[in-house]
Amino acid sequence: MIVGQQKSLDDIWRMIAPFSRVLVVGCNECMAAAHAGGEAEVAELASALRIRARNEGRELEVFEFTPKRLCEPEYVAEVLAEVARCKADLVLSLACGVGVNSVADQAADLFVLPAVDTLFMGTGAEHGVWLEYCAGCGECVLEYTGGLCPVARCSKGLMAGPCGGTRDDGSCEVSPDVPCVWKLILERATRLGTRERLLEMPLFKNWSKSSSGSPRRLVREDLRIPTEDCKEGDTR
Amino acid sequence: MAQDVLPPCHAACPALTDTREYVRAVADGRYEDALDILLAANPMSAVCGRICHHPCEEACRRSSVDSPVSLRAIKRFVTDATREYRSHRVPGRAPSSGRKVAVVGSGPAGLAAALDLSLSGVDVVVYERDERPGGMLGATIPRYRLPYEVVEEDIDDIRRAGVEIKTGVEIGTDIGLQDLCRDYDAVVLALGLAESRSLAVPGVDLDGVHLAIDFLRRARAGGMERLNGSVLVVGGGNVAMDVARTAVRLGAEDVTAVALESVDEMPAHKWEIDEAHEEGVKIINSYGPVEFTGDGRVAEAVFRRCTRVFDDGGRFAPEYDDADRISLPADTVVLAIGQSADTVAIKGAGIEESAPGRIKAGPGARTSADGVFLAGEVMTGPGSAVEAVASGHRTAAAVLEYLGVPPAPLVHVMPSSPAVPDIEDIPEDVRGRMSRIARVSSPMRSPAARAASFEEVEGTLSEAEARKEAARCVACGLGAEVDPDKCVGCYTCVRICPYGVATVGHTAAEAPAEACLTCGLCAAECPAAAISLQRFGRGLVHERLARALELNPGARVAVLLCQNALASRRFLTSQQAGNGPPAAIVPLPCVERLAAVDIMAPFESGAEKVFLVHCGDACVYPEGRGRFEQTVSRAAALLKAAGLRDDALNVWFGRIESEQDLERIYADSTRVGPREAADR
Ligand SMILES: Cc1cc2nc3c(=O)[nH]c(=O)nc-3n(C[C@H](O)[C@H](O)[C@H](O)COP(=O)(O)OP(=O)(O)OC[C@H]3O[C@@H](n4cnc5c(N)ncnc54)[C@H](O)[C@@H]3O)c2cc1C
Ligand code: SF4
Ligand code: SF4
Ligand code: SF4
Ligand code: SF4
Repeated sequence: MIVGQQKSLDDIWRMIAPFSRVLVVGCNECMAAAHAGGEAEVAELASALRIRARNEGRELEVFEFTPKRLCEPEYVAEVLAEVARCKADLVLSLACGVGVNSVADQAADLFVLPAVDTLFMGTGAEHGVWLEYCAGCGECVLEYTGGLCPVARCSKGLMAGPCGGTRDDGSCEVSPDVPCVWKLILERATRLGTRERLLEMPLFKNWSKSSSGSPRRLVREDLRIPTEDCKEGDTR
Repeated sequence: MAQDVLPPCHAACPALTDTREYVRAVADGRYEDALDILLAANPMSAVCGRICHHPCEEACRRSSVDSPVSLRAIKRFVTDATREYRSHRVPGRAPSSGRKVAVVGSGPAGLAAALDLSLSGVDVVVYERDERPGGMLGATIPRYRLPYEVVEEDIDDIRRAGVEIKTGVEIGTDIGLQDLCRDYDAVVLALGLAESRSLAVPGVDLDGVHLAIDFLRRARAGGMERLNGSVLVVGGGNVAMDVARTAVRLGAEDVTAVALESVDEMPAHKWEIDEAHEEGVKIINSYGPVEFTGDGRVAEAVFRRCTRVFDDGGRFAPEYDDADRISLPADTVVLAIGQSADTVAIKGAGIEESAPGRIKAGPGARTSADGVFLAGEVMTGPGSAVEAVASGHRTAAAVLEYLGVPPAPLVHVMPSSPAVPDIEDIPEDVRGRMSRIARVSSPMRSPAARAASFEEVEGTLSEAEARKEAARCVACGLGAEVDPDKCVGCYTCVRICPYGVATVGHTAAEAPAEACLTCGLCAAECPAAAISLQRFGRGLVHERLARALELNPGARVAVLLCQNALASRRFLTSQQAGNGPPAAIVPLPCVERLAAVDIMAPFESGAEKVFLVHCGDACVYPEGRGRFEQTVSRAAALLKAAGLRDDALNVWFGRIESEQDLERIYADSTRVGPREAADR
């Protein structure tokens, strides 16, 4: 899942200052599971905005809408219908950044603002705790590291660790809250008897496939429906 | 009802009283609604609140955790608390169908049948040979358990529904059954089991040897002379216990019940035996009478040991050891060994009997005569008042079908199959996580005081007690329902359910009805708003808040109040009376279940201050307290961010015993401003 966190109410309040009819839009998938933007959080944020508006004597209408997701054009279409219905002048998105981009892409004349900081791809390890597990580097190395990701989980992103900074309790020298993933990788490889695999890790990783390269896109010609106007560039 | 299975208490009631709903109504302070719910199933609810053998309690799922909810006592509270309302309550009848039915016998079976028929627009006349109606309820069940005024309360209702009762008329002697068949479109025989069985042993004809029904009947009517010396009661059933306890009250020095059965086999209910014991009754088990001796008047009774009462098939087939005999002195003997029907009503009417004194019952409660039906114990054999009521409902349905008259909407339609599926027991692992909460039982007078008079032995729960007890009911079956289309499988519910109930299946979370304790914590925290609690709908807070604001427009203070924190309904109803505090009072079944957004709702409506009143120690979900406190902190943080003062949200942990402390909150609600931190 994608993990995100709601921005502070002050930040949101500042962002929406110019608007008077706000549609708070959530996402009942990742952002719900992240307790950042599901239907329940949409209701909470909307309520907090109404209360603040009332408190400050400001005219503000707040509406709520939570599609299943916001990361596909079809869902955006639902949101646009809702915008028209309540004559909103702003979409305040509690979806991840993908949702915000999707709306912006499709509605040239509509304001859309993010009320969530999109954080990472990870796991809800326990109620109230999320951990980053994958960085989407484009060329997965988990094959060599026994399923534990050094790209996402090593503070320095080392491809050959540990760095020597591992503390006695197994945490990373950068932060005591981060377990040293390289220590874990080694221990696991030892237990599973796969230490040689570590040596097979390619010496050079192609970072152009990661987010450090140009914007990534994936086109699957085997899936794509060939139509007249479906030309290169439409998938942006 | 959203589910097709019933809570076990409901399913166990022979008349299928909607137990859970009347208990919920009591918790809500809706006592009149509770009465309506009771009467919808059982017109003899005041009676049953006193003397029902309460199979509902036996089935209550709390039994496996601590002890069952005191359902009968709550029922008694309801009927006692709503007398005024009930006296004006006139059940609406369907327009006249032009049909007429005679009911013979005014016991619970006859009355229940008569009521259903009358509600459905049939003209009903009940014929009763006694001078006052009620059957065994008024004639033999001792006053110390069931004062006649209580029977009358129920009967008055039935009369108000259009039923005419003619007393002092015996069918079979004063009027022939054939005459009834001629004058009415159908006849219901609800004759009961009016006679005690006797014994074929020497000496039963001696003076001082009585039959139980006779004895109780005379005692109840005040016609039984004082007793002295030793009284022997032969029998081990409930009737025997009533006889023994009546004998104690009539002055007997020494009362002993001699039962054929062993202690464990005794048919009397345990509580009847216990109460008899407390009042000084002795019980001798496993002996059966051989003879009664005396010179004109009984002086002694001889018993032999009973080695076995039932055969392998469970049939009554006593075996004795003749060598093991005891003789007991007896100034009075009462035989309480069973009842049989008095069928004078069918004399000469040519109605088929399966054995002498046993009217043959066919399907649909029919007799061999066209249009003549049976109801109650004359058909079912000995049982309880509520079973007689259930039988009356069933017979009424058969009669209506026979007459081609549709049952009126108010008629309680019983399913044809007596077995109703119910939610099973609370699973063991869930049980282990629940808190034990002491049961509140009806107050009983001291045994010595009880034994000294025929005054009622049991009292009615106070309002506070009834409310406290009602709060123990977890509303089985009204738990979490997950909308699989919304669930994102985040496992929040699984992680926070204090009872380990919620699970995530292949497609979505599930909270199995038989396990869910309906606390609603998961619903409060599900980020996808996928869980709804049947007991406490999502819209409830808004609904009740809107109502409270309507009653108190412009209220600047709102109180979200767990109604279990209230010893009375004073605060639940005071606003309606217009003399309440200037606050919007929002009573709720529970505040732990509130989501942050629910807590914020009053502020959206303009409240400047909100009090959250938790029922504190009275809470049946103490396991949820931590989550509640976290939810409150979340709401507080959001409110602060929205610019509200720190003291805008106040939490108060109450206790039902300290209801008057609420006055403080209300006093406070008149001035909105800084105040001391809440009472924590
Ligand atoms: C001593 C005793 C204690 C009991 N205690 C309890 C208890 O604690 N809890 C409980 O649930 N149940 C108790 N019961 C059982 C309960 O009273 C019966 O189950 C119930 O009364 C049966 O109802 P019924 O309508 O079938 O018959 P009944 O109540 O017996 O009513 C039959 C009526 O028909 C009338 N009748 C008969 N023949 C004629 C005729 N020819 N003409 C006109 N009228 C006629 C009779 O006079 C009587 O009034 C007790 C019973 C007894 C005897
Ligand atoms: S201590 Fe471990 S996790 Fe931290 S930077 Fe070094 S290798 Fe990476
Ligand atoms: S807890 Fe309530 S609903 Fe459940 S069985 Fe007991 S009385 Fe019935
Ligand atoms: S908390 Fe809600 S969304 Fe999460 S698993 Fe449970 S039902 Fe599904
Ligand atoms: S309502 Fe309570 S008991 Fe039932 S599943 Fe949810 S948290 Fe568990």
